[in-house]
Amino acid sequence: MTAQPLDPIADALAAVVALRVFVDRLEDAEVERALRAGWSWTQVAQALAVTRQAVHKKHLRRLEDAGVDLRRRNG
Amino acid sequence: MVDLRGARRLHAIGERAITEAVSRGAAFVEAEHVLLAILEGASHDRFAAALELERARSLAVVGITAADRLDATPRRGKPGWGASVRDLMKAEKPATTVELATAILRAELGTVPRALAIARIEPAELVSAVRRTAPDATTA
Repeated sequence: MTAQPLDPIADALAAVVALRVFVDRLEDAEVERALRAGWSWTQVAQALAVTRQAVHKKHLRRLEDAGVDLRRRNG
Repeated sequence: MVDLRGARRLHAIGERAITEAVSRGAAFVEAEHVLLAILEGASHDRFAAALELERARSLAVVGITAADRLDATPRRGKPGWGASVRDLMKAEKPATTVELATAILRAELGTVPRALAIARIEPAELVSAVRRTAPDATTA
């Protein structure tokens, strides 16, 4: 089977690769937007269908660096 | 973990590759980031533009056309080494910058050959560019 880098099958597989990166960036962007808008960690976690601990661990440090005020969030 | 420590120069390329991956929001350092770390000047910019075209084409396959509008603060953690780099280091064991670039550009499938094909860049052109600019390239 000859496979070419731009044939339809390669395009479809490359879409999977590009989607993985895209989903990561989309999550980063939308979590940041929600927290800047005042959502709590618990609300973001519920909306994403993940645990609060998971979303906190993944995003806390970069959002602290970005200057998002996270100290008053109880949930 | 890829053993890039054997040669200080390859280690420096690895550090630049991490920077290239982070600046593109990638969770893993892949072969294309290593190649970006090796290329300089116009060759670097040309390949970077080719990667953007490749990403746009791949996302368009599933109907996504607005990926550039995503704006997020980068993650802080150091990205891991992707399979494309780990496999290459294990199989080819490149010892110099030119060997590393040549090994990356030998791939027939994946992001690098797709980007080159879309932008109509010949792999040999980039190998020549690396031979001209790499500090450890032989003049022979």
